[in-house]
Amino acid sequence: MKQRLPWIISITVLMLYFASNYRKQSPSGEIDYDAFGNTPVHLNGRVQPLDSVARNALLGMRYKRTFKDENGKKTPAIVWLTELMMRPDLAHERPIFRIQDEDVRALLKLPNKPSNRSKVMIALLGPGSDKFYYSFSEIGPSLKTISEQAQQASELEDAQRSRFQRAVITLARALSNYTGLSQSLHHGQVASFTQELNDLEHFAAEGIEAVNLRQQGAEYDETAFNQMMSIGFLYQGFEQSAKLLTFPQDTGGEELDWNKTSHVLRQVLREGGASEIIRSYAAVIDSYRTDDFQAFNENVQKLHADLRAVDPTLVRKASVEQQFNFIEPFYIAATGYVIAFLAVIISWVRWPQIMNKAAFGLICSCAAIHTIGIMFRIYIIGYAPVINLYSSAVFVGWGAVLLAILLEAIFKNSMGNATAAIIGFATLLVAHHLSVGGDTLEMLRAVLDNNFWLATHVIIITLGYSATFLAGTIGFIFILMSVLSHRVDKKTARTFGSMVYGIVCFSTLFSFVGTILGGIWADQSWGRFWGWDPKENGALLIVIWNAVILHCRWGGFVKTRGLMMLAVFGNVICSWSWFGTNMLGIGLHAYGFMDAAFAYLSAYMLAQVAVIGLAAIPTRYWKSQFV
Amino acid sequence: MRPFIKFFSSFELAISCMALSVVLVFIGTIAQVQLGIHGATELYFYSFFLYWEIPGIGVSIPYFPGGYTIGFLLLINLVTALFVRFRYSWKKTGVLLVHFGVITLLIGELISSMMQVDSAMIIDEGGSSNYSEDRQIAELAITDHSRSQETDRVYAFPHVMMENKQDARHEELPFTVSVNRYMANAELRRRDDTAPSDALTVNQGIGLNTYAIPLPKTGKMDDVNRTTAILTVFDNANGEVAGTWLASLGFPQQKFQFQGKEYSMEIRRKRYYYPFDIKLLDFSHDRYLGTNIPMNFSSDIELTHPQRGEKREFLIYMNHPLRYDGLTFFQSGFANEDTTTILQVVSNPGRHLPYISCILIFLGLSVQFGIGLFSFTQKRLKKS
Repeated sequence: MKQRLPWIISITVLMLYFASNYRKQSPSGEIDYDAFGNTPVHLNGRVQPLDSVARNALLGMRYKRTFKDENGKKTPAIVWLTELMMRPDLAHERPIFRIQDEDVRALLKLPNKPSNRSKVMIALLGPGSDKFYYSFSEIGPSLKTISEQAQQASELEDAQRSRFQRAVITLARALSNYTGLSQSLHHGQVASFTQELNDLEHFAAEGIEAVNLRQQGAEYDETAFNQMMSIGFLYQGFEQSAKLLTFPQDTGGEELDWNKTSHVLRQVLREGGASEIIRSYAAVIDSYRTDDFQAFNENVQKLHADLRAVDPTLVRKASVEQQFNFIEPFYIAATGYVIAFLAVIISWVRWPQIMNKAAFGLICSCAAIHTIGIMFRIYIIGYAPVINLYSSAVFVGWGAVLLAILLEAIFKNSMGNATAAIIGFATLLVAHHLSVGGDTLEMLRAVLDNNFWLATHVIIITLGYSATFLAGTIGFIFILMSVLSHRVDKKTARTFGSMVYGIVCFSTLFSFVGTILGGIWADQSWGRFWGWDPKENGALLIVIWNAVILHCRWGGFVKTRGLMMLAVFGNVICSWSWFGTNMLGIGLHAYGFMDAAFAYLSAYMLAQVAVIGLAAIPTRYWKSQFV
Repeated sequence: MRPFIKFFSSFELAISCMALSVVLVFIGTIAQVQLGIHGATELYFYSFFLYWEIPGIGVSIPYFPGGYTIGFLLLINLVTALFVRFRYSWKKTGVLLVHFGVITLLIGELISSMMQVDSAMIIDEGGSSNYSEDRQIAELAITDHSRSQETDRVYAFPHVMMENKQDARHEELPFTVSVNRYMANAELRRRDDTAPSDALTVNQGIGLNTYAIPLPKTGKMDDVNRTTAILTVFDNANGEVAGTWLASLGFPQQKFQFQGKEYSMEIRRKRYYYPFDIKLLDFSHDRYLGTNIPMNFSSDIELTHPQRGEKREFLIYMNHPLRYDGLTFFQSGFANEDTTTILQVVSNPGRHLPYISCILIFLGLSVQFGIGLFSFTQKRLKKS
């Protein structure tokens, strides 16, 4: 029992944390935001809960999935989105646009804001990001300037834009997203939506008659006609600015047909008779505006019932995604990896057995949570797990962690734990930064729409990346340990050598087969096996480099030290193939230039080269003497 | 002979070749930003050496082996190693399979690099086509319009002839077209007094209002090499000059009379004719609801091969090309507000080799690492 104690404790702690995230997310006030956040809408080509819309939108504006309310309390995004869609006048005062670029702030003549932090905190942590947040009302007067500047900047190619121009484009996008959302459920020109619907139904016949009479050249009711025209204009503007598709309709096709609120309003205007869904939406909005929270909650339930009547699975599927949002499995896993890494560090100093076991328990449960996250994504999108750069980061980390767990199970020397923690955390951090781009569950571009190849080529090649990084990271740690500490003896060195060798073998198999499968996919769909596309070349580099490592070892050209140096350089090659090739902005696999990412990538590569340089120091100067 | 074979079969050569190819692939990929994928591929991967031109002197010296050199060296190394160095035993079956796989792969890529032909077939809805056009190479087409009402006779001359300034002549044509100036890529300008002297020699057709200045060749995917030439037509019998034209890719046919017959000249994309017709019945382009993200492109086509008495419909869409007669037709683009389809036509005689090599390599690596893993676990079990 005593043997298992660290195991049990570490797993329990993490699982409790996991469970705590599963509880209701929203403040348990009078409004049931969770229920409203579960409402399915159509955006970016897919059905998603409003909760996801809120989080992704806020992420694009505030770079966080939450915001701070009047009292400085962290509040879920759905609270903000509900307000923005139903009471935009209030939402416009919330500082949710993060404008960090000084030139953009100068252009908009925005004042510098004081930091909310106390003097001690500022001294310790800096002023923080609070002072970069501005509200729509503050930016409002400069909307025209922003769109002009963004227009100018968008005429340039991505790589040629200056930092200021990129910032302006980002802000313009965020603003258009913001206004689009604020105009999605209701145009806000009249106070009561239900009243508007009633009037509309009542008025429709009269208005249509006037229009028809005028068209026939007969005498017509001019007031009714003019009213009809002005309503038409209002709805036309509403149609253009709205962003969400809110009304599902079963038209007998394979998939539901979704429309904007305005579309349905115009339909009511033409034909009279508002549908149940629009009536429920109207009731929800009106009760929110009149602060009748009980009615709001009841109306939301009614809305969901109406949506279920169109398609029974609609609300349930949205709620799966909402739960995924609540749990934030990748966030928990990332935190867990950090704790595990600390445990490993402690194990190197004190209590090696216990702490290492605890770390292993943590890593295993993090891997389980990581897996749950990936399963959620597969279920939601209905495709194999790797569909874009974001999911590749999540998956590379997952693969590397599993391999490292295997290593730890075999060798039990804490190296598997250390590398699992490092790679797991690093890749999830990378994924987090990639997710700022928007919806990470986006739809697949036509060319990728093939589950067979996504499940074979993409998965296999991504596991090849995982293994290459794992081998490189072990090499990295080994070099640091041997040069700077006395910990490595002859036996340890030999063990490390066989770990790296085994992983390189695995990596060769997966990257080689994955690359060739990619070629076969290309042949299947484009009639050519190899097109020297940057991404293809990147994959080829990994294959060749792994082959170089293996041949160097088989030919006896390198021993443990050389093997480690080569493996670390594998990190450089692999990171270049993974991200560097995408930054070139050419070819079929190009996903656009990432400015900030370039600096991080260079720093990462330099660190690898520095460690290789460290290993080049003659071994007699190393602290560990194992040769 | 012996040291020679020893060198070519050596481990050192294999590793050097692989290391060199890592460098080559990297710099070649970086060069793609400037030269485009096609341009860089020709220069770096489908070449024997990379050359550096010494500024001022105009002399080029090779500074790095190109893709062919490294590929051939690797191939020789692999083959000789199989005979000389390799020790055959059951334990090495995996390695043997992998090396056969790599040999197949290298040969396959060699065949593709030399024989793969890419071209595009552009068809409007309701229309049909029996030829495709090369995306890179142009040709000079002289058309005899006087034959009959329905059919013209076309004499096509490859761009290499223009490039080498060879006269274009054919026994059925009463005249010869000589090339005064050839530009692989050019920019067109409105003709005025600033035009260079050779542009002023043009005295017929579009060139009266337009002149061309040469541009460097581009290899970028979306850019077009506007092949342009200044051409003079003269009589085969008496050498009398009928006129000088400016012809450029994208110009319409320029008609002229010669000995009472109507002809035209045109620089067009090189055409590949087929014994069958492809008719576009319908093109569709679906986007995800509420977005511009393409969900699917598809061309519903009808293929007619009169000699074989074949007529059938086929739906070409993403990841689902038509394979016919050794050719692959896949959906590559569209135009004219989704009423015209662009099909990429690829012929590659080496396309089956990668499949074989994939199987060989997969089997080989699995067997090899499987054996390694097995003996490793055996050892560990014995220890414990």
